Amino acid sequence: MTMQGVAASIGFVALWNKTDAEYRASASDEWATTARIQGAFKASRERGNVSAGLFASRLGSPYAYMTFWHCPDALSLVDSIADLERAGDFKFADSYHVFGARISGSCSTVMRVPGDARADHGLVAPTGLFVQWNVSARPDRAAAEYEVLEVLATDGCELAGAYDSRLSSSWERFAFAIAAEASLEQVMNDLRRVADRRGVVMRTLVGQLDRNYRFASHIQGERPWLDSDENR
Amino acid sequence: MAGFGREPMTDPIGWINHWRPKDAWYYLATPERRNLQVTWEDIRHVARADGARLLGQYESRANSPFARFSIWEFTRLSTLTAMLAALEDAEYYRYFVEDNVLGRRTSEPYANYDEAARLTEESA
Repeated sequence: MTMQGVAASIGFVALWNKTDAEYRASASDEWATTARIQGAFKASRERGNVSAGLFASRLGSPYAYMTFWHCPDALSLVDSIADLERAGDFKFADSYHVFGARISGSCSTVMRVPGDARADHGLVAPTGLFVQWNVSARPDRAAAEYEVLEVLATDGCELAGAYDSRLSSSWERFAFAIAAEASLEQVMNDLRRVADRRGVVMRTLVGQLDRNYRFASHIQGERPWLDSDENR
Repeated sequence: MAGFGREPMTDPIGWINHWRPKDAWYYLATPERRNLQVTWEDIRHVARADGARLLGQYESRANSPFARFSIWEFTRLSTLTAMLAALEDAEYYRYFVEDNVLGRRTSEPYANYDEAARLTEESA
């Protein structure tokens, strides 16, 4: 990347929990806000952002949900976050957000969305895998990073992208991958082996793909979280 | 708008850069520390030549796990990412650790939340 380079494409991960306001919301507030959030998602797609979907992440993290977006540039991301602010999304969610510039050559040019992963692997519920790591203090950082990415791009694991997140985080790198359920244990073991052998400080979070959002304590079965067949 | 886009823009990107040295920094000999600092300053100078502005540097050890923070403005995201990549190549992150925040400047910081509250009021 050079000073005059074209702006990098962006990866974005959101992890969130429900606020008390979500539990206290009236039905009209719930559905009016949900409709506005869907409008913000639609505008986001029109900007070229691609979402990997909604992943229930309580099984391995302090967060209820996780999502990942690949964005053509950072403006497409921040404009979409502003839309979500206006829609009232954040009255119902306390979020951890991180974004980074894509590491060149670290992923396919078109992210494969969960629908594709499901077809490829015959999965009912593909697993989203969010990995953050710090490696740059090591003299062998290139080799260590290569090994992390290699694990995330093995059979049964689809690397959506790897990103440099120092600009927005104390974690230097993150990657998002979608793993076949049957491959998850092997992928996690291989990541741990790389971390141990190379001394890479790493954090991993997993989540299972969910089609419907659990609002407060009920499932919004009336509509999918991403209200669009084109972007499951 | 655009420092987040492909061209320089009118709304700059603000970047709060929290940092502190790692243990290894204390064990470098003085000439090594000086050489590294010169190299890193040259890299920051390249960013400034590309439109970045260092607005100030502050001591924060009394109220933060980070000892210092620097406040920058950039006209292009690529200037910032290139600066970070160059610092990494120059072993900055071998000796320092950071935690950073960035965002675009706004003249209406409450506007989105006012709109969300108004819409909530309407749907009540």
